[in-house]
Amino acid sequence: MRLYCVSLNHHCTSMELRERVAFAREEAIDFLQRLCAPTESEGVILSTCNRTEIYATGSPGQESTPWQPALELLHADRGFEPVLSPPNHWRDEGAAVVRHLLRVSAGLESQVLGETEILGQVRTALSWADEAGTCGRRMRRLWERAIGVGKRVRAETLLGDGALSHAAAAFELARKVFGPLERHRILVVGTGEIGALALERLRGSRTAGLTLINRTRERAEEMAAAHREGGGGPVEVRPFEQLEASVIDADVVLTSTAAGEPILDHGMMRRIRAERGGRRPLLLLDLALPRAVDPRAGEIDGVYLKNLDDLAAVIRSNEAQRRDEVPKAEALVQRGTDAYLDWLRGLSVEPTVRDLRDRFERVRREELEELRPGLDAEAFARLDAATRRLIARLLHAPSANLRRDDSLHDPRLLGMLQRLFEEERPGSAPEDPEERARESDEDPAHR
Amino acid sequence: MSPLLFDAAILVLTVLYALLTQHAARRYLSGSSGLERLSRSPLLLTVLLHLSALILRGVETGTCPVLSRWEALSFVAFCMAAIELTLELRRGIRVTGVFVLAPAAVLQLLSAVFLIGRDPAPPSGAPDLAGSLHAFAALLGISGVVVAGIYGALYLGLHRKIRAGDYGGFFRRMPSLEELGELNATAAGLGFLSLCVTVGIGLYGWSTRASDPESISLLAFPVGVTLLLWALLGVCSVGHRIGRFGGARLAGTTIVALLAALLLLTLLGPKGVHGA
Repeated sequence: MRLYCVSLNHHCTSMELRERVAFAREEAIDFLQRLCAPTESEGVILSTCNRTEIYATGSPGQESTPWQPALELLHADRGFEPVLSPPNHWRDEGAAVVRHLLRVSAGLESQVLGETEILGQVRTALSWADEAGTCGRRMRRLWERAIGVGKRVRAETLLGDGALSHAAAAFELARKVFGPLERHRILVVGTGEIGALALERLRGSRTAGLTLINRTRERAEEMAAAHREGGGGPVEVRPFEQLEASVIDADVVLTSTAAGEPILDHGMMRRIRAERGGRRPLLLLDLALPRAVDPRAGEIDGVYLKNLDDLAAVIRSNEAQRRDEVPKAEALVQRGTDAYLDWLRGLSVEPTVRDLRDRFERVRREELEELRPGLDAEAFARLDAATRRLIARLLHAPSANLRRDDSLHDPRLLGMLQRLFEEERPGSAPEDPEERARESDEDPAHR
Repeated sequence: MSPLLFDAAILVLTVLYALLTQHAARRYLSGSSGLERLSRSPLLLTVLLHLSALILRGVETGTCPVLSRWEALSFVAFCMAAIELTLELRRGIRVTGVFVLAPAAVLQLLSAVFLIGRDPAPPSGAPDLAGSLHAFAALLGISGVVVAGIYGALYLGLHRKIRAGDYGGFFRRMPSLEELGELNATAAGLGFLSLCVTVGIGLYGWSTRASDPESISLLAFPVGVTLLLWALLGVCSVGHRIGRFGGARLAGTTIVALLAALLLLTLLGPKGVHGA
């Protein structure tokens, strides 16, 4: 089997080309069936916004470019013209492909290092191949290994941790102050772009209350309706005049206004703090430019004021952390690659090992049956167990070495091994008397 | 308990505390969710083994097994580990465990250095149950103060990092400020309750023996420090419960209490607080 991959990804393929070759579910199933059916090969297509990759198997006797049929189909279907200099796609075969898929699944090949969506997309690719009926034993094992490595990378490293967008960084900061936001009230002031993104991020999370305030109430109502329609929880829209009272109620305040001057000045913030009293901290996330909160508000006890620069610093720190985690993720990928290749190598010698074991077992049974008349049931059972153990011990080392040692995987060697243990067929004994004499000399049983 | 068994128990416990600290440090440094999920059984095992050793020693001595300042240190190490286990079970936060377990391991090591090779023979005389409970509650209270102080320091550390815009490793690894504040307040509450028992029994004992010239004075410095600790923790716990005291102020107060507790530990004489 020759495993190959043709990849059109964000490293080497332009956005226009990636758009042209991207696959929807039905298209992928149809393509895989047309690619794999003629040669009964295996295939999987991974199609995301940043990559379209065709993983397939070719037969050992195929020409030196096993990916040619895939490229031809892509050319016929999508008008994709493969160019190698400068390359508009990547292709390879064997171990490099295994490693590549595991890196993709781990998020090491993603545009945003360590992003987590890719793992779901790898799963989807496997399900498409299942529907197409093109996922054989080898390919399934490879994709399951890729999913396993992807999961381990997320669990054992910090590669996917930490927000990389302003909206996500804002909530990372909020969670660092308050923990889960389920028991906290969030106030969004303004309907600017980042505010809208932040609201979008809140769709999946539970909060104690979400309030939206904007100078133009209609715009706030629209945004609240869009939030609810998008699966978010209830949003209370309040008039701008209730800003101060709303900040008193809130734990996290996110401002995203286009006002030229602060809407929360120092005096107002002091009043708010006094009104809130007690030990409830207040987090002000000022995502507006120019700033919507007086910077001196951050000096008030119990008030944390963060602006766009702070969020950028959080993102930079998270990026650095992700880069630091790359060697750990690479080590997991390497281990996964080695394990899969070992399994694959073992698979190629498996028929030989099974054949050997079958032959030995057949001889054992024949010899046992000859002895059966002279033995009682107990003695026969003991002899049966002893010979079974004997065969297992004798074949253990050769089987293990065959699976482990790459140099023994040459098909010619495996063929020789099978012939070596082939039983003598009637009439296949050497005719030449000299040769027979030599055999007798070499065989200690004849001496 | 034979000297050999006594020494062996101390040695095993010291090694266990060291391993526990290493385990907790790995969890903190890796910061990954995978290791965060590692079982808490090493901590549970260590606490249970230490408790068994203390019970055996208590049965042997007929009193709270704190016959010297070095045994007191080991007892404080046990109480700190037990409080950390309680906090982990209550709050489910384990990444900060190393900050409590590392000082506990140091206390256990100090205790081992001075206890191994000494005659562990118990004193003669009738067991004093009230005195034992008083000592037990006092050491548990001091441990609560130490743990609360540690969480107070972590709270203030994170608070300052957020204010200063330093979003490095410490910021990433720590749980939220609110969670640290809760750990801080819970440990302070445990310490306060224990010290209430200590002070109650102490006052009762003092009132029944006030005319005895050998009786301790309430004006003795270590007793005063203990009362100060009790008052500080009372302010923290009650203030936090009624919602008027929390955040950085609570953290700062528990750090002051921790410093007072350290002062008290250094004042422990051969006869404990009252013999200084």
